[in-house]
Amino acid sequence: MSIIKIENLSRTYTETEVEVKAVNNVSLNIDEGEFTAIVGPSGSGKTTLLNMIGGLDAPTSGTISINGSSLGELGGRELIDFRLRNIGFVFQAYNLIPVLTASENIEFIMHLQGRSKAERKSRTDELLSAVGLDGRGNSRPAQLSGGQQQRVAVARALASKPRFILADEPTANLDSKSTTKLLEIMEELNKKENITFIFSTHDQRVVNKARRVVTLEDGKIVSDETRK
Amino acid sequence: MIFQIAWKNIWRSRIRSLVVIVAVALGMFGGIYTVAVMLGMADQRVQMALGNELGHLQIYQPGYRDNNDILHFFNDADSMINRIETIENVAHVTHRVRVQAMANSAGYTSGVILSGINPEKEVQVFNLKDKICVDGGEFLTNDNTRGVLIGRKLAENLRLVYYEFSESALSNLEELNFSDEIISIFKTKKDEVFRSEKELKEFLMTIMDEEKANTAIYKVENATIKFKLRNKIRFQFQDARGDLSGGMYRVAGVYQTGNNMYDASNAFVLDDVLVKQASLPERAAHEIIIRLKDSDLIDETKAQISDIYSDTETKTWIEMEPMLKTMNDMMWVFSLFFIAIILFALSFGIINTMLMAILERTREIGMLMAVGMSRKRIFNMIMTETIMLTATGAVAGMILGSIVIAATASNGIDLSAMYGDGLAEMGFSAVLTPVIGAREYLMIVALVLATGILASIYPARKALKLNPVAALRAE
Repeated sequence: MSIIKIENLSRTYTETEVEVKAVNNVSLNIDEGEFTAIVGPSGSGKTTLLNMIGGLDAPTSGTISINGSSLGELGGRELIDFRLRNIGFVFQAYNLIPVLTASENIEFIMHLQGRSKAERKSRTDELLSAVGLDGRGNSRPAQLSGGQQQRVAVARALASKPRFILADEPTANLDSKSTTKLLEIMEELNKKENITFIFSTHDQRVVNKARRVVTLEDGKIVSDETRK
Repeated sequence: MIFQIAWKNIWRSRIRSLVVIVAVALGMFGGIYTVAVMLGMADQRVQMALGNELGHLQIYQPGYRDNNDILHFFNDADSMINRIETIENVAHVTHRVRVQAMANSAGYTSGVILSGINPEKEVQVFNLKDKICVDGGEFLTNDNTRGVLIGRKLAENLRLVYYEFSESALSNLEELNFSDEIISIFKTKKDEVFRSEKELKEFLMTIMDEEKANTAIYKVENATIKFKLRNKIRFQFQDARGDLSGGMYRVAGVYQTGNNMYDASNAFVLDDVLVKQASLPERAAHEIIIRLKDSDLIDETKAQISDIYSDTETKTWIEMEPMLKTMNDMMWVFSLFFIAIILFALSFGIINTMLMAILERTREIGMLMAVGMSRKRIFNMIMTETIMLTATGAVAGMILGSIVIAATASNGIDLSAMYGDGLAEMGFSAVLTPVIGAREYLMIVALVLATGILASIYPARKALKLNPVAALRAE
């Protein structure tokens, strides 16, 4: 069953003198539980596509439906609330809040959702365990390695119990050991908890793990390969 | 959790936040302390006036206050006092017989209000007894029928003082900040008498320049002054029959309230002596003065008295001296204005700090927007942070201010050496006691909060204008 339906999606940037079609008439369906990598060279439109799926950027034309809700029909506040409850984000630069501990970074999202303290605490412990960071909850981001920080970021993305996770170049800043560990964790979460992952990536190791690889070039899908 | 994050965010750039906090703290301290001094000054002036001159309420015959006509008197002040004393909020009551008189002493003349008082009742309402100068004799007693109590300024005007570098005066001067050379010159003048302030000042100008002499004269005067106690003063006035009357008195005591104008124009004798000299009935009085237990209930008490004595004029101290109340209120308005200016200036520093903080956290704010933190929550977070930053400095400033106020309030700030005479001329005490109350603190807290809120608006709006996609790409 498709969780994300993208139809004839385009995004044109007109801010500069030259009109740039970052995403050009893309149609794509993503089913629940997929582990999908969106690949392509720099400037191919991967991040723009991810931003539009995440409701951070609005398409110039075309539609995106998530679980039957069209993102274009949501107002500003509704869209923010939709993101909070349905989408988990993992960023290339981790983007953890440096003054908070790993636990607090994870808890914060649930605080925004209005969950109780007890619920936040138990979910945080559960997620830290899931990403292999038991006992590091009280560490500040600066006290963790890049790989550990990105694992906290994954745990944070999962904290809100989203329908899917968008990860923009999640391994770009990691060494190979950390990348392997992170991919193992994400793969396990995908398999065990049926969480949908969509990556934009250059990283061949991520591509190798993906069960579906969508390749973009100049904003267009040039291949869409599903593996077993 | 927003508060927790806001608090932690303040300490991200420790030095930068500390600079703002210290600036706010010092600004608040300066503001609060200045306000406390100004309010203390005004409050002391009011307390001096209440304790020495006015009491809380005064009762007159209608028209007496227009021209102080000797014929506008109460026939039986004692029965009025007895009745008024039964009113619950009344603490003490006294009366005064007053005539406008001319005081003469060895060729010097001065116009005064000569008041006849009952010493026992007087000390319950007024604190003139505590204002007797050092070596200035004593307060009136019932058996001192020819004694007169005069103000130090009147004593000076009537040349009933002289200045002498006695042993005790020299030891007092040694404790003040005079150089050894000046002290040794003073010692050469031991037991020499200066008959007037003018003579004393002329002497000082022979040993120091004029500017220093102007500053030193107040100290030297206070150390060397001697009062000519038991000297005679003749008072002349028009009695109730319109005839010229008066009497000879001897100086029993010299008081100093700190208000030169009052001290120059008020003398006190026993009431039963004065009523006879003024040809007034035995129990006559021109004013009845009341001290209250609770001054906040002044209007209610006045209404009670007015009901009993509807054919008299009952005035509150505010009605008698509206200037005092106005001055008190104005001091507070000026103080608020002063604090507001300080906070306004500080708000620019606060805004700058918060703008820097937001610039540094652009990507983080982008992330917060991306993961679903509403704009309202981001606005509130920045506002909370700004208010916390401002409030931390303000609380530190208030604590520092309170400590310094408490430390200086016990002994007061003695300005007598520099401005004593000038302050006394204006009716202010030369020893200032800083005072600040809960109401003032609350108003200042409200101003600080308002500053925090206003200073947060621009940085918070700046944060809200961020586009999450662009913010996430920021370096």
